Parts: sequence; structure tokens; C-alpha cells
Amino acid sequence: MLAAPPWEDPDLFAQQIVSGIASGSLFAILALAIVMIYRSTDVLNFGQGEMALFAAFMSWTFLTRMDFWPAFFLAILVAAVMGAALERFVLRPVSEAPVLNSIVVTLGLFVVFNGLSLWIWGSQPKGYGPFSVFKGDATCVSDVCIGRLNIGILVVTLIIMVLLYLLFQHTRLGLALRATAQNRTASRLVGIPVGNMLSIGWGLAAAVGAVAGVMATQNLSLTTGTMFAVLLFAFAAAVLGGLDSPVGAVVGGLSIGVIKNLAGTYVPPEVGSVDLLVAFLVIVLVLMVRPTGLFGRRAVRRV
Amino acid sequence: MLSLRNVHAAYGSVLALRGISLEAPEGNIVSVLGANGAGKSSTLRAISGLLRPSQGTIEFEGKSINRTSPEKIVQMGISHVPEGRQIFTELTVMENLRLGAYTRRDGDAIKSDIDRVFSYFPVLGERAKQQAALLSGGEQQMLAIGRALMAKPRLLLLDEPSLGLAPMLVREIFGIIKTISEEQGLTILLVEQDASLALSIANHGYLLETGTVVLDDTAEQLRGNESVRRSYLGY
Amino acid sequence: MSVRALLQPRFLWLSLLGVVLIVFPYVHGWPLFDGSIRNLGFFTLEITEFRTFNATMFGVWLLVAMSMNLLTGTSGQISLGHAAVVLVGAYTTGILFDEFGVPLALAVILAGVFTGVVGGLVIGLPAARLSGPYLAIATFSLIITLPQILKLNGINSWTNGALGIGIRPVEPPNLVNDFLGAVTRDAVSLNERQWIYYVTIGTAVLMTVLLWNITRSRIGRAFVALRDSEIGAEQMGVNVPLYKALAFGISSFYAGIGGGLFFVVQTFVAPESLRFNDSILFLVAVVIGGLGTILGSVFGALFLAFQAEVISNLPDWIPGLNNVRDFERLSPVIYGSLLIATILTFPRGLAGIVQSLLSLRRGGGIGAMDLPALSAIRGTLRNLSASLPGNSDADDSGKKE
Ligand SMILES: Nc1ncnc2c1ncn2[C@@H]1O[C@H](COP(=O)(O)OP(=O)(O)O)[C@@H](O)[C@H]1O
Ligand SMILES: [Mg+2]
Repeated sequence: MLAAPPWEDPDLFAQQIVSGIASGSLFAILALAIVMIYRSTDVLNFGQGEMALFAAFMSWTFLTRMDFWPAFFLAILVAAVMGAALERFVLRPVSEAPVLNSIVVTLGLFVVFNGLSLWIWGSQPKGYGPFSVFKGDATCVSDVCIGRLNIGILVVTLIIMVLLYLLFQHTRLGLALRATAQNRTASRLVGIPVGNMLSIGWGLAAAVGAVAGVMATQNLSLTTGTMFAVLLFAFAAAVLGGLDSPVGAVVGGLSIGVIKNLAGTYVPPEVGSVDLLVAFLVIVLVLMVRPTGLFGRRAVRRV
Repeated sequence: MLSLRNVHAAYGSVLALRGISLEAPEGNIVSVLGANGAGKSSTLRAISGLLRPSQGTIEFEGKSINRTSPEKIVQMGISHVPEGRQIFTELTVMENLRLGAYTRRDGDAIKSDIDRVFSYFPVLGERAKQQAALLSGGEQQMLAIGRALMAKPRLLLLDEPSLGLAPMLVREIFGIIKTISEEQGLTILLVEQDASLALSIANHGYLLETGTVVLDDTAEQLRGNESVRRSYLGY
Repeated sequence: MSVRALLQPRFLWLSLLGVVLIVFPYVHGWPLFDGSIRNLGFFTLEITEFRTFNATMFGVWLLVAMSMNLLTGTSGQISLGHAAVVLVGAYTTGILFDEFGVPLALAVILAGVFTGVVGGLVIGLPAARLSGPYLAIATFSLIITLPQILKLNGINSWTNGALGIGIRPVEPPNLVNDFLGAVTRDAVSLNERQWIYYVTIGTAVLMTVLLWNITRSRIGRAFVALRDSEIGAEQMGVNVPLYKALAFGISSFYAGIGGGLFFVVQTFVAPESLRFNDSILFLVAVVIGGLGTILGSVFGALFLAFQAEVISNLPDWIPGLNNVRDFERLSPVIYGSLLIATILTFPRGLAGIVQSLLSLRRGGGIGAMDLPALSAIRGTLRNLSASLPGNSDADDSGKKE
């Protein structure tokens, strides 16, 4: 059955936009993590989704010992430390090598984290169930509703963006991180410990990714296959926004969320499910028409 | 204040320095001259810790800095204005200057030092909030020098500050460099291809060829030296 | 070819290899090998019917590994979607056979051509404009999305949706068994598995020879130039977009043939027959095997054919592993770590090690071994000796590198 077009059922349309923004903010957070790493180290981290998944599983395990929020923060902290350690011991040795090498290494991370999750937590889907704090009735304005979880996701996303903005724009560390991302030689010459900055950058990104992981698995169930699609959407978001633009990642994420929901609603069911296809088409279109994305700057062509 | 003895350094298998020895006494402007590829920049990179010497010693104020990291070297009082300026083009002028003071913790003094940089280079003050990419070549060079001064160095390494600038601008910048050196008692190691310019403000000069010092004398003597005149001064 | 040439060691080795490949399906039929040769120390080598299937898959994987290696190792173009290309080859074969009644052998060849053209024009030409990270994202999105595309209702009548396409095992043509029977007085006749083994191995050998020639031609040299530096290649007069598209095209042709045979050997293909994990596995295979060489692809194919078995047998010969819970589930962790470790220590892979050892034996000396791990060790030793007093000429020893 075909959904009624927007002009006949504006509430349905508005509802899809609202839900789209909520799920899109998850893609935005993960895309933000990818962009942060790409900007600061020129590495495209294919392991980001699985690192996030691993953090989500950790938080799930911690739930047996503590409440939701402590578990949430502990998982993020562990993820950050792991991210920093990975940069130091796995990524830095290939930092001078061809791009291919660093991509292959992050693919290795993908496989290792996915495999570790499967080995530790098995293939049975896990759920936060009663432990999730995002339960309760949806909030509605006329017929357009938004669930607790989606409100939670939006609020968390907003908090992360504000925190990152403050960090990068208003602290000494943030300034040093931006400087390192831009020009490593100059950074060393002004006395910035560049290696530490790269590790911190990876740690931060891993923490941000972990938030996406925990939030994403609140309603999707927690299995080792969960993050494949989320990673694809995050890449679509990052490409749409521009691979080196944090603002782009956020705008891209929200757009992808909305586009995906609208496609899910208005593409006739006879066609089959098309959510991944939408992300694929966005990526292909952007790369053909405007490879720097909406906000990106850096040249896309290899030099 | 600074002394290099028999310093060797290489990029992979390319030997860039083959036994450099030189001295920069306190308060002096010492000039390093030489053709393209002679190893001038590499010498500065070895001093500031970007290029690790494979052999020889580099001493600053009596302490060996052969294996010291660039961060530590900045903290010890050596600032390097690299070839091609290397400013942070996507950051503002102000942010560039604040990064120059990255190793310092004395917040108030930093503010007054920024003002002092603005007094040497008033254009930078006018453009403090602008992105550094929007500055002209000369202004970028001023910013690079200003950023280096923000670390409160006792030794300043300057790599071809005249590169790509109009002669008038170059004279202006060199004038300011001389003033700064005199006012702050700063020791300066100045790398230049334009030998007459460099020798006009330097006390002492070293001539490099393929990674070694081939001539070393007072600036005055070098200006008078026949072969220097023919090869580097062009008259 | 002179008699001299026939007596060259290389030729003798190749002949021996040929004989082994030909008699292989019969080895387990002989009394001496009846059953198994157990515990060669490495993993249980049972020579059974299963090995013939195993060896057949080796042939398929060899085509896939060569395809991946030509693209990534030789031409420097990364693809995370290689499993998708192979899958397209498999589906094309299935659809041609199932829907259009094309004979299977012809269907495989047409699938190769089709996949090659699609890979060259649809992926290669646009990809020519993209740098590494973007190419990686594009190919990643392809492999993640392809199953969904294959399940679209619009093409259901061809792809059969989530159910996939199946065929019955291929019987050897009567002609072949009649001929063999006549020649050997009915001593030898091929069953289905043996027949598909010969077809696959024959194809793989042919295409290996073809690839060997391609890599030594002007095209192959252009690919290498492209990998080493696009700007350099341009200056040498290489038409960069054209050759990039060509690299994708030829590579996809190999992947398509490999995919076609994959379908024929497995007798089945579904949207999730090959997934992103397989794409990574292909990459792991050529990285560990050795990027940019045919020998590397051979090692890579061995890896693809045997990694699952070797990993599941590991607990039998490494005592402590018995106690590890669900050990088999750790296999991705093992090959992922192996991938990272290879890139960090021996980026030229097993083939690189073998080549270095050979040049060592030919008197190249340790200095001829171009292994980063070794040069790192040498560097450390040199620094150590340089820091000892009275050793100021220590760095001379390392100059030859
Ligand atoms: N990054 C580098 N990699 C390899 N070789 C370099 C590098 N930088 C400089 N060299 C080589 O080192 C030598 C000295 O260069 P440099 O110190 O830049 O000379 P100068 O500053 O006097 O022009 C030259 O032969 C140059 O080719
Ligand atoms: Mg220079």
C-alpha cells in the first residue's frame, strides 16, 4: 500500500522528518568521529563502527554492576583509552606509508573488533531492556510524536556537539588539536607534542563513536551485525557533508536520517527495502557531482 | 651559546649534513650562506630537533640537545622560523600567535608579548581576527616571525625570511629583525641565499657547500672575500 | 623450444606441478593413499574426495586473488567491494543459464566479459577521479548495498530474491568420458567433482599465464607506474583515467570468471553468498600473500582455501588453545591481527619474504633483503654500536642500503 503523499497527510510527513532527524543524529555522531580522525590524521577509520559496537557491548556488560549512566561513561572512557592506544601502537607505524596501508590497517581493526565482540558476547542479540533510561511514553504535538529514546538521542547529540565546539574553539588543547590537524611540522616547531595530540584525537573520536554505539543499540538490538549499516549511513553522512568538515558531518547525518526515513515511507513497498540503497546512491551522486561534499574543502584528487 | 660540532644528518639514505661545525655567540646575528641544497635548512632542522643528527654534537647553553625532542627544545629557548613560513593558514592571526606561546604558562605575560609583536608588526594587530591564509606573503612572514617570538626564545633560527618577497618589504623585515635582536639581546642564526643582505646585518658568517662548512669569517671579511663576492654577492 | 630449454629447472618444476595438478583427484583413489596421511605436523592432511573440492575452490580463489592483486597490488587502486564484483559474476552466470538457457561454459565466459565491462566503465571510469579514501568508501558502500539491490522486487524474476539461484552439479560431457574410457580401457572416468576440478584448474592455469603476460606488457608497466605515482605516470605519457579504468576492467574480468566458477562449483548463489567480510578476506589474502606478484596471489589463494581449516585445527597442535572457549569464533580476530601485523612488519607479504630468501641464496647478502622489520633491527643495532665509545665509524656499515 502506498503512503499518502505529504499534501494529503502532512502529519505523517512531519513525523517522518522528526524521526529522521533523531536517527540521523546517530549517523551524525559516528560521522563526526570519522571526520575528526580523517581531519587530524588523514586516516579513514573503517573500524569506527565496530569500535563503537564494542563500546556498546562493554556498557551492556557494565550494566550488571552499575546503573545506566555510570556504565555509559565507563564504556566511553575505556573506548577513549583504547582509541588512543590504537593510534599510538597500530596507526602511527603506518603514518608515513601509502594511504592503502592505513586503510588496510583500519580494515583490520574492523575485523578484529567485530570478531572480538562475537567471541566475547556471542551471536544472541542483547538488549538494554529494563536498564535503558530512555523508556516511557512518547511526547506528542498534535499527531506528531517523538519517543523518549529519540529525545534522548537528540539531547545527547546536542551535548556532544556543544562540548566539542567548546573544546576545539575555546581551549588550549583544542587549539593544539586543530593546529596538529593542519600542519604537523609547524606544530612541532611551536612545541606541541604532536604524537600526544594524535593519540588524544583518536581517543576523543573513539569516545564520540562510543556514544553513537551505545545510543544506536538502545532500540536496534545489540548484535555483531548492528553497526554495518550504521557505518554505511555515517559514511554517507560524512561524504555528503564533506569528509573534512565537522559541521558537514552533522548536517550530512541529519539529512541522511531524514532522506532514509522519507524513502522508507514513500517508496512503494513493492519495490523492496531501499534504506541501504539510498545511502549508496547519496554516496555515488556526491562523489560524481561534488566530491568535496557540501562543506568540505580539501581536494579529493590524489596529488 | 650554540655550538655544533661535526654534525652529520641524513634523510633516509640522502646525506644532507656531512660534518657541520659552527658557533653562535650570545647576542650575535650569525648568517649561514650557501647555494640551494647546500644543507642550510637541514642545519636549522637539526638544531630545532626536526632532523636527528646521526653523528656529532649540538650544544645549547652548554647542554647537549642531540636527542632532545622539538617540544623540549622550544621550551629551552630556541625558536625556528622554517623555510616557507609554515604558518597555520586555517587559523586566525591571533590563534597563530597564541600557538607560538604554547609551551608557556604565564598567561598575563603572553598578552603583553602579543602586544609587543603587534608593535613590531602593526599590520598583524589590524588583522588579528583574520584567517592567516588571507595575509599577503610579507604579512605571513611577519606572522611566522611573530609566532616564533611568542615562545620567548633566546636563540632565533630564521630560514630565508626574504624568500618570495619584494625587496622593499625584505629591507623592512630585516630592519625589524635587527631591532628585535638589539632590543631583546636575541641571538639569531640567519639562513639566506641573498648573501649581501644577510651580511649587512650579521656579525659573522658561515658558507656551506654540500653539507660542510667551507668558509667561516666575520661578516666584514666575508663581504671582502673575493670568491664569496663572485659566487654569492654577484659583483 | 630447444631441448636445453626443456631441461631448465623452472620448466621441470612447472611440469612437475602440472603432473601433480592432473593426478590430484586420483591420489586418494590409490591404495597407498587410501584414507589419509595423518598429522603431517601442520594440519591433518586427509586425502579424500573433499580435497578435490578443496583444490577446486583453490582454483576459484586463485582467480579472485589475482583479480584483487592486479587491482590493488599492481595498480594501487583500493577496492573494498571486490566480493561484490565476484558476486556479480556469479549472478550473471546464474541468470544467463537459468533465465536465458545459455550453456554454462559460455555463461561463465559471458559473465566474465560482462563483469569486466561493468567494472571498467561503471566503476573504473568514475573511480579514476577519486583518491584512495573516497574510492574505499564508494566500494565499501557497493558491497554493503549489493545484497539489498539483489533482493529488489523489480528484478526478482531474475535473481530469485533472497532465495538465490541454484543448479545441479555439472556432469562431464559424454564425449570426455567416452574418450577417456576408450583410451584407458574403461579404467578412468570422471565424476562430477573431478570434472569441475579440471575445468576450474585448467581455467585458473590459463588465466595465470595470461596475467603473467599482461603484467609484463606495456599495460602492466603502466599499471605499476600508476601505483607508484600518478603524476609520474602522467609525465611518462600514461593516460591515467584510461589505464585506471583498464585496471578495473581487467580485474573485474578475472573476478567475473572467478564468480562464475564460484557459482558452478558451489552450485548455488544468494545475495549474501559473498559479503563485506569476504571482501576483507580477499584483501587479507593478497596482503599476506604478497602485493603485486603472481606468487603472492597463489599464497593468497592458498590462504582463502585453507584458512578456515587451519584455524579450526590450531588447537590440535598448539596445546594451550584447547582451553580457549569458542576458539573457532576467533578466526576473524586472528586474520585481522595477521593483516595488521603483516602491513606493519612485512608489507610485501609472504611472496616478498620468499623472494628475499631466494636473492639471499643467490649471494645478494642480508643487504639485499628489503624488509622493514629487518632494517629497523639493523638501525637499532647501528645506533647501539654508534653509542659505544670508539665506534664512530659505525654508521659506515649501513651505508650500502
Ligand atoms: N625531506 C627531504 N628528503 C630527502 N632529501 C632532502 C629533504 N630535504 C632536503 N633534502 C636534501 O638534503 C640536502 C640539503 O637540503 P637543504 O638543507 O634543504 O638545503 P638548503 O636549505 O641549503 O637549500 C639536499 O641535497 C636536499 O636534496
Ligand atoms: Mg633551504
